[in-house]
Amino acid sequence: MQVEFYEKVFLGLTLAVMAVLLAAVGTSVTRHGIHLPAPAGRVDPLTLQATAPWNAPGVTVDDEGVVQVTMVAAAWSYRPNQITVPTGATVALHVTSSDVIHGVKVLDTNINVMVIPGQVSRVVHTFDAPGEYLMVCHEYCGLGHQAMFGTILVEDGATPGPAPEQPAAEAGSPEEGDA
Amino acid sequence: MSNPHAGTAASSGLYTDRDRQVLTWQVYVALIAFGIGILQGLAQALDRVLPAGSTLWTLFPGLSNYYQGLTAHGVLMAFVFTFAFSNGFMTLVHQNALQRRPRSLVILLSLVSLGVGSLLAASQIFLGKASVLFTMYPPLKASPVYYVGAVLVVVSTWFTALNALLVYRDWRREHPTDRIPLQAFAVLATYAMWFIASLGVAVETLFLLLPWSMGLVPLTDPQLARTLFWFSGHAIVYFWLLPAYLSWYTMIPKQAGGRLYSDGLARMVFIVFLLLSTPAGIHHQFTDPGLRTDIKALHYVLTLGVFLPSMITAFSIMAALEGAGRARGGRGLLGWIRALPWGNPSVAAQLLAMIGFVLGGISGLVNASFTVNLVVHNTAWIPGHFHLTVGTAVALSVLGICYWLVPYLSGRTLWGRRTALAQAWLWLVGVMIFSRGQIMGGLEGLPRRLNVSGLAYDQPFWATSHAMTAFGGTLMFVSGCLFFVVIGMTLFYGTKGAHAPIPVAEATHDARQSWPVLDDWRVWIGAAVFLIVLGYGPVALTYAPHFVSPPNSAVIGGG
Repeated sequence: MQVEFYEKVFLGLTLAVMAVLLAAVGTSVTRHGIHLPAPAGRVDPLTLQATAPWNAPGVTVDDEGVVQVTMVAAAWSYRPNQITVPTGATVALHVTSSDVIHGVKVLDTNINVMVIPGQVSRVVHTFDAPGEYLMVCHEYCGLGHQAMFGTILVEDGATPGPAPEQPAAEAGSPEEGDA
Repeated sequence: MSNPHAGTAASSGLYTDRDRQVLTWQVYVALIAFGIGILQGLAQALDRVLPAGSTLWTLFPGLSNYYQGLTAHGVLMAFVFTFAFSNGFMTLVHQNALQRRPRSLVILLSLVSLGVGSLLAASQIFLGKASVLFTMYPPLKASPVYYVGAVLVVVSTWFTALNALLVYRDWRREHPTDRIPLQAFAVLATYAMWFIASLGVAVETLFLLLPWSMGLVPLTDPQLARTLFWFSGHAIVYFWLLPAYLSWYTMIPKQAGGRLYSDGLARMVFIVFLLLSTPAGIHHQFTDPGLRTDIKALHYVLTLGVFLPSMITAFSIMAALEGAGRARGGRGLLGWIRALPWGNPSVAAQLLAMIGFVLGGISGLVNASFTVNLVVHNTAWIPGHFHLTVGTAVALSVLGICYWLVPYLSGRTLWGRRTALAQAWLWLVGVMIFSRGQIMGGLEGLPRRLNVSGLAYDQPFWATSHAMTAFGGTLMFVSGCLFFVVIGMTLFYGTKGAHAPIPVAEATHDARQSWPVLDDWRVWIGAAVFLIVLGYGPVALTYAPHFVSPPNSAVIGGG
């Protein structure tokens, strides 16, 4: 098959562009530590209210100083809905859904993950700049989808919160968790 | 045939009256779906600038909320419009290229399946029993009738594929050593690709969604359902696109007064789509929690492979157009562009569609780029991107094709050349504003699929995005209305006696210079299956199904 000179040049340039793109994306992972969500466990949405840590959504700090957030997404809010962390904190967000598919996107960060019933979504992010970060549900989840959002408040020296909810003795309604 | 490729559908001798009506109605069903789809599109565009809590929805027939209209828009545009047009157009091209009659029963079954499926799905959407969007992710639940309708719409494409295969086998028996005519080759590659790819969504609907929706099984696996959906869901993008590619490669050079650059490169491009369309689906699931990162990386690399045929296409089409422009007297570095037949609405619409596709392709590269996807995933960027690809490269090409196809089918000459030209330009201007608005909103974190007039967390920096989306979308709606004026006037008042045949471009480097192995389907279908095993085998090996049953999901879905 005849391939002409200009065609060969064009194909060569195309392959070069592809190589540059691959290298750039590879660098984002290896040098800048940007990662896609990976499997972080499974749950049963029906027994969420009786399973630790999902029966006590909230914020704790582990021995290494990482802020651990346990969050349940349900139509149409997050529990907890407002999170406070100190500037510079590394936050490990764990989210699952108790009903349909939701999402978590935090504006001005690389936090972007689907929240799928049965699966645990885990994202780690370090908040270097203080401010109020908008957290939105970015997957259609029913008629109230446009009302589902939360905030992450990053303040110098702030105490991480809110503290985990008290596990309910019997199953409560999601509204009780909205503060 | 003494004079191959001669005459309109009626005078070509290829069709009985009923066959011709069946194929004509496929095209008309596509246009009806497009007409309802743009009306929904207008509602969604205007929603961006309505005062909070507006009840505009009650003004649009049969709609009670934003997401019902969005479901109608997605299903009618992405499934019915594209599939029906392809059923009609690709079959007509195939029969003409091979100069054989279609299988009457098979093409009739395709139309019946499409018509019944569309009516079932649309009825459930407008009754409010299927506000699950066209992605229909469980545990959002629609009524069983909706899923049956969706399956029938897919089955209609299988009948079209079956007709193409049977007709090809007959032709091959009589021409054992001939090269497959390029247009028939493109049709066969397209439907081979789509048949394999569509099995994912077929399995999802028949074995996961339908029995669960009917209450026969209590549980479903939302992560598995998404994975099966996107097995088909990226390939469907190329199933939408390849009829436009067929037109750009094999028709536009002829319509513009030139020749296709290379028959062999064109064949190669269609083969690469057959190979790479399906094992790229997981780049739609980069942020899914249940799939391994190494599998996501593999699909990223396979997706990047599709960049190659896209760039070959850019080269080939530009080369053909430059040749045509110079043959028409264009001089200098860029003078050939002015010399192209911009006064021919069919050509102009498709040239403008190509401009949209350049931007759509580049923005698509961003979506597919692994970590970069985190910036744009599920934001308004995504509809900004795909209104440039399926919403312009495909849709505006289809409208352009209709400017010769409707005369070819009806025997009436096109009415209102200037109106048709205005339609094409207005669509491009509209989508440029619309998509720019969506893309900037997405970069600023605005989610997609959002009832903005009811938004609880609207941000001041999204205001420009909302305004541009609303304005551009409205222009696209007006452009769509102009299209229906042109087609309606053509059908009812166009002068009889249209005689132009289906355009077939000759190639500078024709089939004799391209590798014969390109026509060996066993090789390429085998390779396609191998690549799917490579791409999805690791998913099958590492993903253990996890059936869960969240509460009250039907209520949330509005079902």
